[in-house]
Amino acid sequence: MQKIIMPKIEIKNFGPIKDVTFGIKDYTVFIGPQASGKSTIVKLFYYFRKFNTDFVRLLSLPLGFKTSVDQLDISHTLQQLVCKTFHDYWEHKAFFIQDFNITYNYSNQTYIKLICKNKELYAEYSTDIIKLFEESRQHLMNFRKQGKLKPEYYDSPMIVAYHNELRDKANKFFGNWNMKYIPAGRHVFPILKDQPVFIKDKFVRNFSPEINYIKSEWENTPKNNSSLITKQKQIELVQLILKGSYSISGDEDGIMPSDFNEVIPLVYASSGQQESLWVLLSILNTFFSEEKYCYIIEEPEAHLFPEAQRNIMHLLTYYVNNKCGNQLMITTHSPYILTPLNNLLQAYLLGQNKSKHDNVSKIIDPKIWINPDHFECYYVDNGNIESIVDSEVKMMNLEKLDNASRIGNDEYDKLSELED
Amino acid sequence: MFTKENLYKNTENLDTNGNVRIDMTIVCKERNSEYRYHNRLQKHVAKIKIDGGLISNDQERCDWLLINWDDGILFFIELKGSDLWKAVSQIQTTIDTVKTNMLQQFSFKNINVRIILSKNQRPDYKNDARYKKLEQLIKEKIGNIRNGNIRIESRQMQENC
Repeated sequence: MQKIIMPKIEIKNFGPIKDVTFGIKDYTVFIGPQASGKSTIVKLFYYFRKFNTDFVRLLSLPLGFKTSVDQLDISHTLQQLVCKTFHDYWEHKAFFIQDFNITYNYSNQTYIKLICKNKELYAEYSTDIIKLFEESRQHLMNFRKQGKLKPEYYDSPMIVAYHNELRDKANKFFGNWNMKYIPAGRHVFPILKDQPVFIKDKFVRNFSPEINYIKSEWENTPKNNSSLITKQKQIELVQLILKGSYSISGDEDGIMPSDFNEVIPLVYASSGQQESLWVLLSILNTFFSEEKYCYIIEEPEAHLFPEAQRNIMHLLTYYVNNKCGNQLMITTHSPYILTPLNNLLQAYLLGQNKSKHDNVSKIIDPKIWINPDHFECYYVDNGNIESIVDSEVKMMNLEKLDNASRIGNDEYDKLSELED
Repeated sequence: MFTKENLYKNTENLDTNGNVRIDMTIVCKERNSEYRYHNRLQKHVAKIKIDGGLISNDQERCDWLLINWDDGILFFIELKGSDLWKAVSQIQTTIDTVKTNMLQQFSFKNINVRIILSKNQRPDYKNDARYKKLEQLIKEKIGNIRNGNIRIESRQMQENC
């Protein structure tokens, strides 16, 4: 009997997705043809994880979303919260043409259900969320009765306590995650550096400030000798992939190639360097931080040679294993992203045997062994997902990826039949 | 299917007395792929046709089986085509047909898989659940598996025994 894993998401009829249900593990990979819905799935996951922030914002002083205490009511404001935020991410009416429903279970009791019927969007909340909303509303009504809603009271112990309690309860229900979404198409940012440009896609648009944040965190994070030594392997991987090191001085940033003493400005760096730089720096920053993160990365392989694809998967695995609670979700087109993971899964399984542990460690660093219980890989196509991890040998079966080679092989065999 | 009678019936290199001949070289050939067994230690090695011989029903099967009767070693050989996983599947189905008690009955000690493709396979094929399952099948039948049990090459393979 399959154990039900939480959190769980259920998507019916949204975008290219027909019927998808799965529990979310710490390390998840989605592979499949373009436009199959991989991106849709991970974006929804991001949306529901981020909902905590929106919920708290709605009920914190000053009240978010241009609401007032009078307007706070379940059927109206809580409904509108979903409509506002969801439409922000999925703007185009094409998404709402067909009826859909999406249920996200934060836990067994806590869930949010989005229903689209006749092009209108509704939300259904679990009772604990509704109760929290009601309690907060009561608190705010009381504050108003006491005349304490004005900005000068925001620092008062009563209001501070209210905010802390709201945040704690929301974290308990929705989970508390440092969410990072790294979209595909990120290499345009260095190119568009000085041009003002409006990007329609909110996920990509949100990434622009994130880049500045990555840069400033990189500059400001204290990197003393001891932490640099323990993170030696990770830093080496980054330099291997970048073929150099990232350098920032004032406004100019660029890459100093390993075999060259000048810094090449980022706009002139290769597309592989530009595309991978943000992923690499952002992930590297997490090693120097105490917090736990949840990363969603689209196409980490973009513009990278197969060997570099393997290196980036090793780096991402260091990240997941670095702290209990770190999570990773990636979408990919590349078999070169998957095959290194099979070895890491195998290493974990063999390494559980005490007599083999040390020998396996000599071949593969235990810090990147992947526990199959915390890992999943889904093939996305035709609106559905299918796990490609073989339950018996706990490795991925890459049959679904072979189609292109199979067609090529068929052609080859037919041609060779015509040879003398 | 894998009775001693059937195995001998489908053996191509019997002498006039119906015993397995000692051949210096055994060659299995198909269009662009060739397998050469160099019988240096001069054992009784039978060349048995599986596809269209030992197995004549509709099931998936590989091309040839070499049996070293003296040492109890089997060689399952697949030569056609360029699709590695199809070859693996054909060999797997054929090996599955050989019941484990039959292996013990004939004192077969070792099973070898030999796949000769008509073109080069991308080198990372071992990193796949399908390869692991083939290894496990062999382990199941004979108790363990070593590096030489599975060989996959393109165009030509030499076996020195």
